[in-house]
Amino acid sequence: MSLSVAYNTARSSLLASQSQMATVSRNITGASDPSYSRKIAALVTQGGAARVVTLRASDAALLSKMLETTSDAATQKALLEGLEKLSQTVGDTELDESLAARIGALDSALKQYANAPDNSQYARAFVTAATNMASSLNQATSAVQAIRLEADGKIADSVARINDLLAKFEKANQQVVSGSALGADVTDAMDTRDNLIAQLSEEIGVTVVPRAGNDIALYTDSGVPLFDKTARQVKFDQTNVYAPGTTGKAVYIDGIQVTGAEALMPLNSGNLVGLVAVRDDVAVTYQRQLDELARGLIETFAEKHQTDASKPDLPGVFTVAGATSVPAPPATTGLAGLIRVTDEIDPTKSATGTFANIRDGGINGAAYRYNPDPDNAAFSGRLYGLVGEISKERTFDKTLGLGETVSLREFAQGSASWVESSRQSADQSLNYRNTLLGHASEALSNATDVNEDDETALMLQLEKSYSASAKLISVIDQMIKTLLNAVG
Amino acid sequence: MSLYGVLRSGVSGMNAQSNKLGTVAENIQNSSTTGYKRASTEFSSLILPSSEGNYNSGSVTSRVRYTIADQGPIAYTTSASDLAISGNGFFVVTDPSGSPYLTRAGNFVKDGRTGNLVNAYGFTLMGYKLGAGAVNPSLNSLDGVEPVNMSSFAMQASGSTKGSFKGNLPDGEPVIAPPATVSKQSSLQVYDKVGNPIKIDIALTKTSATEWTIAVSNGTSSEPLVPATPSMVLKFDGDGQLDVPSSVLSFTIPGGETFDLDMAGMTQLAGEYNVTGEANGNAPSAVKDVEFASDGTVYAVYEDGTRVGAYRIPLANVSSPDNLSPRAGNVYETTAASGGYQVGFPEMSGFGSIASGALEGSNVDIGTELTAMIEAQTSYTANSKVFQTGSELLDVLMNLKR
Repeated sequence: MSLSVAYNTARSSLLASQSQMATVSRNITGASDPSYSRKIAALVTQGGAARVVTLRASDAALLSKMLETTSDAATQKALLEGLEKLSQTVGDTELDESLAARIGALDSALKQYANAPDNSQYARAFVTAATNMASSLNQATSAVQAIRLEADGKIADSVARINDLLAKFEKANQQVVSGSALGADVTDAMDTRDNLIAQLSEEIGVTVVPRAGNDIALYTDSGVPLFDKTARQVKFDQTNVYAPGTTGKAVYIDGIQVTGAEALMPLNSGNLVGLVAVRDDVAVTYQRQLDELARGLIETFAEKHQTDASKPDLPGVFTVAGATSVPAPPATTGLAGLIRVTDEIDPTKSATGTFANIRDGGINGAAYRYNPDPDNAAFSGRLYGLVGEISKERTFDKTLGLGETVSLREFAQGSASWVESSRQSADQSLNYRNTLLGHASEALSNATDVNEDDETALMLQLEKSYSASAKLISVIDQMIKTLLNAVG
Repeated sequence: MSLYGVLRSGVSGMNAQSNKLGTVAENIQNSSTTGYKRASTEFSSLILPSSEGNYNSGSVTSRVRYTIADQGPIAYTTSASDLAISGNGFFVVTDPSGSPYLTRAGNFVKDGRTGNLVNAYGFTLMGYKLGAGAVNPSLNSLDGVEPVNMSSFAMQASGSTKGSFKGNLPDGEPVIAPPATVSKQSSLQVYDKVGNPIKIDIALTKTSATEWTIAVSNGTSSEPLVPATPSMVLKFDGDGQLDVPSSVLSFTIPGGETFDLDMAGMTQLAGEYNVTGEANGNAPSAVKDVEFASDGTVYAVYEDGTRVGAYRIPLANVSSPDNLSPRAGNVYETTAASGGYQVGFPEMSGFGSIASGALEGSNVDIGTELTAMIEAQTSYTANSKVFQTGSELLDVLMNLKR
């Protein structure tokens, strides 16, 4: 039965060439799709007949490297965005709006006033500088809270996206698993699945665990199950109002806390981690610096009891509502948002308010008056004392990392440069990760992407084998014709 | 007598050759019939006793043989329910009245009315239903086979019975200090008997330098642990390997089966926490398709990707397949000469394997048949010449009388 076998074999070769050609054209179609991976039409022969099995070019090691770098880059990107916003609130230290410049302005207004203590013009200028100082601190506080609120909203968005991606992943994974069980071509569904994992890795660090039957389980980089047969719930309660003391809610995956200080298995990378760091770490630290600066200001302008040293100092020019004492370090949370200039030094604000209170003291009553003769305008001792206080090195909360004893101005500058250097290091880190990501993506694309030259060469090869099979069929046909003629 | 004998021999030769032509005709017409096995005509001589100087010409008888044991070429098709046997054995099929036959024609399709798998000639494919456990067919009879029915794969759920949990617990993890109660936590998705998904939380607590306690709870609510407190202690040796190699945690899933969680793969090395787990069982889902494995198992493939073995197709063979008696529709019946049924499963010794999405073609080769035809034609003509010569000689004899 050799003629029939030859015929059958030639026919199956034709079919195989066709399927392979279809794969080539699929590859060329997907050549410009970044998430497409090259399909390989492998020939399997059995009993002389060939059948085509579609495989897919993939590299698990390179993919996992790329996922890892994507997550790291996303962390740094979220952090950088947060720090950039913070750094806008700090402003340029050379310009008037920055906190350090405000302190400078306050200092020079005070000096001018001290040189001419009878000049109410200078007193008014000092009040303006002090009011600016307080409102700058107030504004910075609300800006920090706005940044935290925004980060919180972004965390909610990120969590929603993760849940959405996991739901899609569940569908794609099901398609792959049931398709694989049936021996169907699941390569496209596998591409979709890889693409979804890549998107997921932007939000959260992911570990991919391949299992039997082309199934995949996903765990976070800290080992919490994200997907195992079914998608796990990622939960987050958004906080809608942020005050300085507000603590943002934590993210839970599968009922396990993954962000925040008490997290059992904290996440290591991804956009989510960056956002949480901005909300709970960077912004909070900056707020504490602002609070400490506010406390320093109150302390600088505090008034001493003139006769009894055992009596406490009381807030002077700068105060907070209902203050009964000068706050000690560390500052209470949110002090920078509450600080204001006392009405007692501003005649426009209060009936009892007078500029003389700056020069003479006594905002807290006669016992705290520095100048014994209120009608004598020549006493500028208190003013010079305040000028000295501003440049005096004082004790600050050392846990903030800006030095233990520094001057008020240095502290404000230190805080600004802390934000700036954090921003710079996040920027550098992001650049580095992006470069790494570029390399990893390139290596992966070299391994899995379509090489059009290669496909063209394969196409020519297939064309040849198709022609050869067709020729074979025509030869067999001729042979049978010869026999038929002999019968005729 | 010998002249008459010549006439007789010529006629017998012509009969034999026309029989041969008959088988050739049948072979050619069935050259594309799935599972058809070619027939051939064998001749055997009958010699009459002759005395010296007096030869009595004998005759020839023909006998039809079938090359049933001869494998036909396998060609792939696009239908997954097309089955081909590569190697020995036959599918067991029944006609509408229920009598069993053997066949190699595997072009089965689902019958819309009954849901059975029926081949192009109307014969129903038979198999053993896979209930709980393996089937044990009798070796020499077809008792217990039933039609492979695609409609019987209803929506199905299976409760989880076993799973595994493996990975590394970090050596550097601090020993737990109150009020904290849990060092690491993970979860597994399992299913109860009716397919409700149940999340099982697994809490790992490091209680001493080399010991971890495992507690399992039903994580969906604050329900009590499943059962009272199934906790076990994993003890690691100095190499970070499990001290007790058999470490299976057994508990009952609420509303489900007893579940065995195998922890044999756990280590305590100075690496990262990295624990993965899996469990069997599935949620109820509809049947998406059917898969035929090469060992004859028919799997129902559910929408969620799980495969459940539903039937197993046996193969039957006889001691002398070529002596089977062919019936219409490419089926064969056992005869005394062929021997009785021997039943086994594909890929068992002595039996071939089943290829899904393929068909066994007819083993007829047109070239061979055409040459056989020419051969038969030539022999037939030669025999007719013998007859003609004998007849002419008799004519000569008759003319002597005039």
